[in-house]
Amino acid sequence: MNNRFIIIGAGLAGLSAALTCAKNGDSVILVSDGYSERSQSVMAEGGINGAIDTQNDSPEAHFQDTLFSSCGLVKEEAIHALTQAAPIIIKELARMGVNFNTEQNGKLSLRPFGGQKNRRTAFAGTSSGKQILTAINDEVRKYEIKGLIIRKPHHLFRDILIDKGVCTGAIIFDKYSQKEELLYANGVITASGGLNGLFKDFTGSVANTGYCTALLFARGVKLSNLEMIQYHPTTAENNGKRMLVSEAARGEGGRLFVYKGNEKYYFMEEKYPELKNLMPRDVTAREIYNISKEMNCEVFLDMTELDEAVFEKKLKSLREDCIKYLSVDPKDSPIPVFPGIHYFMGGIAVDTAHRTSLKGLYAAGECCSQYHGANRLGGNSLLGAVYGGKVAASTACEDNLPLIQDGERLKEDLPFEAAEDIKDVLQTAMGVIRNEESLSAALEKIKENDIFSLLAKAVLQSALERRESRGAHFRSDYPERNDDKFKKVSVASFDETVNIRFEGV
Amino acid sequence: MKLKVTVKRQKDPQSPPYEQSFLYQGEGATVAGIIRKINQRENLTDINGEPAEKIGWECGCMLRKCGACAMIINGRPSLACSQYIEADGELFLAPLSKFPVVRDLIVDREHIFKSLYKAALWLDENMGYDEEHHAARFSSSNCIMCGCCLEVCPEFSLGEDNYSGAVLPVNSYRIADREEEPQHLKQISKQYQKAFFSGCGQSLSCNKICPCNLPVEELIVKSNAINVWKRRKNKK
Repeated sequence: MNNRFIIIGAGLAGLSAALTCAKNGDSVILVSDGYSERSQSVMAEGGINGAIDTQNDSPEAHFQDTLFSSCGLVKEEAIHALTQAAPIIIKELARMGVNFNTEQNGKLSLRPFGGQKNRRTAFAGTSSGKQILTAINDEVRKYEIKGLIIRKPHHLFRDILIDKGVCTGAIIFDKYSQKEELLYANGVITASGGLNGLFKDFTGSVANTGYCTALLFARGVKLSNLEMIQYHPTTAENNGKRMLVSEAARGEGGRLFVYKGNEKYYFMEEKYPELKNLMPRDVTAREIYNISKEMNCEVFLDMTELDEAVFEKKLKSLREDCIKYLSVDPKDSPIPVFPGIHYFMGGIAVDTAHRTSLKGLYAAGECCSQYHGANRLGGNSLLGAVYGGKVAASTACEDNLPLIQDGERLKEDLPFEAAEDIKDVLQTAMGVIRNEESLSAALEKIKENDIFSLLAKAVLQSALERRESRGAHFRSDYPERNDDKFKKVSVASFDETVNIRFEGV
Repeated sequence: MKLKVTVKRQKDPQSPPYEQSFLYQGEGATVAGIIRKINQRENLTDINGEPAEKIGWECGCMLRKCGACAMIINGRPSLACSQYIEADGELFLAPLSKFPVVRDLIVDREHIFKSLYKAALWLDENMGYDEEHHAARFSSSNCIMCGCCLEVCPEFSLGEDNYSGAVLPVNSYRIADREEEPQHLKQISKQYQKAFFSGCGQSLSCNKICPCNLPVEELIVKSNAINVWKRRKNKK
């Protein structure tokens, strides 16, 4: 009670954390580049996982699918808690007013999703992220009016304050007035999203610069599993970035094929008769990548056989986006697709309770490395954001650290974004398929020592030193998984130089 | 495609605005795609070869989902990511005129967000599932707060009266339709009448401008019915 927390990021994880603090009677300063409506969370389409069908599914089965997909790189305790909480979270969201699709009997509709044997993805058309964010945002307003949550929109996080090894506050910068502000708090929770800004091409928001993670890394905060970058199997080029064609397309019956002469060859169905087009994303992305290279051809996503009613009720915005941006009506013609960077499984290392390696600093959502290991299941990111935000905030409240109005900041001039050449280097070296030669060559090209260069080095070194293939990380020179040596988390730390160590999960 | 892109620019809130033109040559693209391409040039120069600062604007999703990039495009408010330019000619970009300019095409839209929390838009008690109104609530929840509807509204200005414009009825519906706590519903209705209903001149210029194609008129009618005429269907 009566503590004050700084939350960096007002997407789903940040809002969820803010709500948790406010409900506990603590106050929150919610710092964000844009308003919540501008956050990347609104781009999430497919849905949120939870074993709410008690007859045909169970949290245990959700746990097993998540663990299997992660290739062993998650703390079992953490995903056990996540999957147990999932049905409760979804029901809570429905009570908050999320307009989930429902069946005639009023029960929530569930769609099948990649890498999962049971139907457990609750959804709101193909606008699940936006619909969930709106409801949580409405709830947050209750506490804004009470003065418990104070927003600092159009503010950039610039630095943390550290006093005797404890994070005591943050320095923020108003983009509009160009003024800096120094804030002290009983804890800082970062919910700052993925590392889009280190790359050229991705499906997420171009507003996610990755600054927060880069800054924290330079200040000694440990990061983990940075090499684990999810390529979404089905994306398309849109105005100089990637556009997502949601997994919901395949969940509702869409099929992947290539032309062999005039024949359609449904390669996923042939190779994976059980899960077919809904294999985990790492597998599907690699299959698409490989077959397009081997046969030198385009890969298509075929939704032409889906009913009009399915498009209308379940895939409406997806269809509109395809017509608008790809000039293809998916009801009429298959869409050419290719894998694109979609999600960062790795990030700020946290313990089960979402504490980072720096006392007083917590992390939640895509910026942290917690629930997804080497490969994330579709539908687990919205869940991880909402749940992770809750846990991080609860932990911060419980830790009840004293308010210390002191602390040191970095003295150097800090850039706002990564230089263009870093983006080129990472985009090329951190592809779907990687190897020693290209990763080493890429490392040589990173010459500077600014915070983004340090983070870029950490990403490349993590990929270089994981000399095996696991989940989203595929090495053509080490194509096998090596559990003896690498069923471990890669941990990146910075202390004059960038160091990578492999540690037990 | 060859395009002359003219931007109404302003260094900061205090400086006078000026126009600067750029030459764009390339494939047809959305306005957002074109601005990104221009800003990615290493040494940006204007159409006369003079060095120029990068164009200030806000951008997030490039998919009409985040509302960041609203601006005036050839005289009409829209999202930069929703307008395709595919033929030679001229493109004129200006910041939304009803909000204070921060820099170039960036405006401060704080008023939109403030008006929603003044309107007490949250749920105290949820009435629960109702298939019949699902589509309208879904639309109400999809508003991206870009401000295009306010730009064209003859009644809206950032003055003393705090008139909300269509943003309030569009967003009010999902709450007014479901709120079961009578005192809170009363509070919502009262503020609604003050901030929206009493000020709306029913020009409905907001209806067709929405870049997300939300059914603005329908949501106004439905929100009026609950908040002003106290007509709400009883739920099961």
